[in-house]
Amino acid sequence: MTAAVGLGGASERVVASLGRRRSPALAITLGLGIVVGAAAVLAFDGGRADVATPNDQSVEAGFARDMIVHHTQAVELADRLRRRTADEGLALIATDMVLTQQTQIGRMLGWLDQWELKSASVRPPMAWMGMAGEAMPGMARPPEVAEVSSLPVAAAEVRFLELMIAHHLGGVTMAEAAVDRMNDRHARALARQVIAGQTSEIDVLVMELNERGVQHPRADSEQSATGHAHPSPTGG
Amino acid sequence: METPRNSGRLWVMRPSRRHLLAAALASTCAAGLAACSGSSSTPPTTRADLGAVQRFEIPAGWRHVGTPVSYPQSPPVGGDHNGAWQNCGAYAEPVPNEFAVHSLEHGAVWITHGPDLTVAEVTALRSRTAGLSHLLISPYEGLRSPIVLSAWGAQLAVDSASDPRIDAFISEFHRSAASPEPNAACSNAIGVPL
Repeated sequence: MTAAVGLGGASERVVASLGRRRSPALAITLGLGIVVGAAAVLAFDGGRADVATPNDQSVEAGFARDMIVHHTQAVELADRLRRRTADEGLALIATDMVLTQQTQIGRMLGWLDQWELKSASVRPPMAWMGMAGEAMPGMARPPEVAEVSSLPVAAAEVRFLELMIAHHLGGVTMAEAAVDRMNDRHARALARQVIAGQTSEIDVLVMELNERGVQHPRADSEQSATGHAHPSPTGG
Repeated sequence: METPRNSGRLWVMRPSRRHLLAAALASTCAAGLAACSGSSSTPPTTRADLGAVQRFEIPAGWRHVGTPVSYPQSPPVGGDHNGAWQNCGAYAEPVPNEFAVHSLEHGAVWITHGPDLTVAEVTALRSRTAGLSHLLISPYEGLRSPIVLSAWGAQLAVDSASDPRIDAFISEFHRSAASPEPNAACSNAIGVPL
């Protein structure tokens, strides 16, 4: 798929540059040839993706299993916060996270069902990232998660934001590691959505944290580097 | 590519050369090489035999109750339970049956161990919670074996935390359709795990 997309992009550039020259007939012939070739590659690649169902040890299965667990904690954190906060903006962000990530969990569970794979492998978690048995990046420890329910509300909001920023950074790291290693186009699409959605949400979370008088280390370096802050919560 | 696992300790090991090699091979997919399609056809890892698992028919009609329940199995593997579930994770103290059975209904695997199990064995068991959302681990008085694994309608007694059947049991029953409500929550209810 990667190769096919690359060829498609190249063919567009070649066709465009040929179109500016003097021989339209040659341009059309060459252009058609490239388009047909690209279509053949796409068809072949699509066929392979359909035939090669990800197996128990595939990156796709590992990514789905681990990201389900990772997302499950995000849903837990956001749900705990929603029950307590009186800040409507923050509640909306949390609602968005619960619904978006639970939907994504459902998609990943659906793949595992379709691939006839279990939700847990005898292979250790994170093996697909070369980190067999290690903790997933950004996961909070259970006592930290519980603090979102036990701290005074204002402190709980800050704790939630700190934990969720770290959680999203970890989720993006996992999705970035997975996206180029997976053949399955549905899995790649979801990984890209996680990268885009959570990257933009990090900006919102850092802003919410700053508004509460807490400076996140990321605000000085990485956030300014992204060059875009989102005034409202975004999907994903 | 993968050899059958024969020790629960593999869960806590650092990346080995084998895994680094696997990661390197996987990364070649980024280059769009045909070779990476082979990674999807590797035979699955061999799972330990689960022939010793006891199966129980849980009679339909179980209810949410606010009172203690007398269960036919110890630890219980299904039946009436509290309306709240025990949050998954590891606990240092016993958890109430009535909450844990609700977790089983949601697809949790419940690992119970004797209160006197060695620290090394308990640590090996608890290390498994890191990558799993529906794993409950707690000490339990009066077990017939040092470690007993339970899921809805299924149970397996083992002697050691390194028994390969532990991971096989988890793989078979974690969030599985053997439970009445697989993938329902195992968080945001009762208990703060370690």
